Amino acid sequence: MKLKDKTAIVTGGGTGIGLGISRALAEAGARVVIAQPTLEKAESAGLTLSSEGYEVLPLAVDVRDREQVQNLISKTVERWATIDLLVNNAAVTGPGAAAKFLEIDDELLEKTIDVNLKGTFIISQEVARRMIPNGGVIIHISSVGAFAAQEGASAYCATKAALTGLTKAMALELAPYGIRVNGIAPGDILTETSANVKNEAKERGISGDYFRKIPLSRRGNPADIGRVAVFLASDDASYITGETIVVDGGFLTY
Amino acid sequence: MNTNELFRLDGRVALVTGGAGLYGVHITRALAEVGAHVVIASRNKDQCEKVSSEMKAEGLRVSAAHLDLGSSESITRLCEDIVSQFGQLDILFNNAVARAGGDPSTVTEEEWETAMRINSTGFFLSCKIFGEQMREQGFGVIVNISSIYGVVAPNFNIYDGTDMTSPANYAFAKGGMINFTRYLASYYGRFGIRVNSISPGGFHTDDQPDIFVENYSRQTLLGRMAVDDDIKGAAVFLASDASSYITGQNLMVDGGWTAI
Repeated sequence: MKLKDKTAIVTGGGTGIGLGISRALAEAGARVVIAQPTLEKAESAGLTLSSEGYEVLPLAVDVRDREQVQNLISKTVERWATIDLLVNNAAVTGPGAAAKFLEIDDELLEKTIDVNLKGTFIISQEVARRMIPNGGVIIHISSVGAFAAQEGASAYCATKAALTGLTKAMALELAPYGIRVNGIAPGDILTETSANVKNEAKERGISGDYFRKIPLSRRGNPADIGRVAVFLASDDASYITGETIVVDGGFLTY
Repeated sequence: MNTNELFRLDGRVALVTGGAGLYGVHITRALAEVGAHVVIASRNKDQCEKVSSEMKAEGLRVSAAHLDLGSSESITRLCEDIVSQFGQLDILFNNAVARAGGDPSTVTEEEWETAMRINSTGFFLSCKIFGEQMREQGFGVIVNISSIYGVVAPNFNIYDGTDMTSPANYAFAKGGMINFTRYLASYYGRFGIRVNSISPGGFHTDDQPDIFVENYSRQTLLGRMAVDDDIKGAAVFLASDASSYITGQNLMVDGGWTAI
């Protein structure tokens, strides 16, 4: 097992892509902190995985709040002593956050930037400080929206593009401490919140004209992302840092 | 499937062109270590035989074949041989490269054309002939070995104090390979074939001058050149179902060279 006895924190690890990541890391031998804004969702995912014999710790955290993040880290270290891996997956995303550029209000703009960028920054900083004696791996979950425009997602696209820069800058400054930093940019992934994305987008005045055909002829699933996280977290990727892997079934090829 | 099994290649048949060479040998070993039967092929069949018998002695499944990328007949023959022996080809690594010629001050028209015959036409024919076999099967994975110099230009300062340089044709061929990878991914995706490339950073060898190794290492975030094992994880990852939703991508394995 590639991640035997490693401790991982997955933000947003209880739902959607995050749950796919938590499961894959657990299957590869990691102990996983499932961090969610609400404890209920973390616990329900935790229950599922622990009933299958995996070691998980469900915790509530708002990544925008440094104190809550520090508290999450203390609880993780209390339980498992070290933190080897952080996956920054928590994000304001999906049809619920879709709005046209001319119509986005301050509240949605600030929430998107605060969770997707500032929250990722804060928890990365706090976890990296904790990783320093032993090294570690940090993975940012970006999006194909970082590289190609998505209608009704301007704030989202901006924050995801920002993570590409953050990935490289963190890779540079954390390399001396043995911390590798990489990104994963998922394409169209089928989750509970994205199942009906086209219809929901239409209801919000988004045309859907720019949805593209995917060369592999299928939407991705959370497990497709989870296995890439296992690769980047493992020693198989020990010479890879500052890189973002796009996992999109060929969406961005054209 | 359990995550750990996704990184296995048991029962798969892989072809690595130039699979007995500097980089190829580590790709060959990696694929064989996770269960694949690997055919290594080049013009120098003796070298392929030597590597395959060494690896066979370790219990790995590796066999040798002749392949001249300058001849479409040779590529077609190898494809037919593999299909008649194994029934299918699951994985192709286009790893062979002709490093003919130097930088623009020295490279001749003839050297350029010799290199292009292998790096452009030979590479294309390999994709076409093995790709069409994969289309008939309805599955397959192609991994093209590009380079950081397919993405960025060489930093010529790292050669100061040595007689080394970076060949002009290498940048041309590797850059073209990356966009051709996207083309193939877009074209073959609907037939269940994934196509990706790996862009490794400079590979450390014992004959490199110390000053070059120092200059090079300083340009990477991880402070070192690539070593034997560095390509192995990426090769297995892109060849296996661990990357089942990845196609048309170029994976940098460069210690952060292109991040700065």
